[in-house]
Amino acid sequence: MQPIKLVSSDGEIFEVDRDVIKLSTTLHTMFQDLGIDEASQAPTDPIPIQNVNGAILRKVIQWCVYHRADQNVGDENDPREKRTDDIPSWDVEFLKIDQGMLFELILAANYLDIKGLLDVTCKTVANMIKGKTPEEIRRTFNIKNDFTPEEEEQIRRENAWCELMWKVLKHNSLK
Amino acid sequence: MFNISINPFRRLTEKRRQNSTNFESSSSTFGISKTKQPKFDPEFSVDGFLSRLQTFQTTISEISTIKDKPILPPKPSTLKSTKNNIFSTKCFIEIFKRLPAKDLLNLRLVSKEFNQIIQNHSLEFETVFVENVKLSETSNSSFIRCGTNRNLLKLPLEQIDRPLRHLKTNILDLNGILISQKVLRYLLRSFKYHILIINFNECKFEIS
Repeated sequence: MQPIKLVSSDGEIFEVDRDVIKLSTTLHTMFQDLGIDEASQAPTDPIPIQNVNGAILRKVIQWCVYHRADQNVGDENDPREKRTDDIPSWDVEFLKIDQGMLFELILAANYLDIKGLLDVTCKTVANMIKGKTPEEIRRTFNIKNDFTPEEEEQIRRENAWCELMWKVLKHNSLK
Repeated sequence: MFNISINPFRRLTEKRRQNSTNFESSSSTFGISKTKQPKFDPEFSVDGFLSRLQTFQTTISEISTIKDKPILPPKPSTLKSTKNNIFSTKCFIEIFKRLPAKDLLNLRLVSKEFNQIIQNHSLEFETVFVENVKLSETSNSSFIRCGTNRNLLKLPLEQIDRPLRHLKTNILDLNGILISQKVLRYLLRSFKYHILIINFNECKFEIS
């Protein structure tokens, strides 16, 4: 089984094993569509990954290499899993990177359609948001508040309405 | 990469532009009324005068609010390209999908962009299942309230679909609401995807 060459947007070339590439649904389907299976000769030209630069692609491949033997646990039909505290410890360490890189990884995982990587990166960011006030969220991600006081007040009112509705429900269901 | 502040001053400058046009038009009407009003106007009436005075007062208050606002320099957009924006929106959707509904409410307050993403893609995010949603109309016909008498909140009809996006329900009870075409449209917009039964209690239908 020959490795496949990938080239990042800035021209860096990576050699990756076929079973590692499989984790990327985008590349996997591309190979299937082209009729390239495991038995056939690997394409000699490197495959361009236009939206991903070398630093990010290295990270992506590193993650895929570590997780190449993982069983496919992500069942699409699962009732939406809301747990975000189930990130494997290796991934937690792996994702101790700066925010910009974390977001680039999400984009790359989305583009290459690597479900597991997309899941852990998004969960990591979700954990940064959970339980925080709007002001704290703004500070965490360096976001400007672009609402006028009136607009903000209106959303506050809508939210209060919504939460009251949830409360009423809980009260009713207890009866 | 994480460019969220999509030209935060765009709205403001637009508003100011609108204000300034208002300002011009209102001042010109004032000018006309001044010249058009001779001392012995045959059509002069106290009511007409009072109403004119009122419009004059509102223009004054408008002018003063414009003056109160500090003039900020327009800032260049921090977004490099629209393509980038689409990608980051996608990326936020993926993150928000993994958050409970309570946090989504907080995120709506963070910025306009987040608010828009959460409202536009509410179907992809977590909602709270409410067995039975009861809505009733207050005497002032444009408000819809929910909750018990002790603890109720009112929202204008045009806005009720926004909080309703965060909950899922099968049964909708409407009490004493005048159902016009417009109301029906608002209600259907909020419940398009998961409403099973709508109960109308003491509702009136307006047929146009």
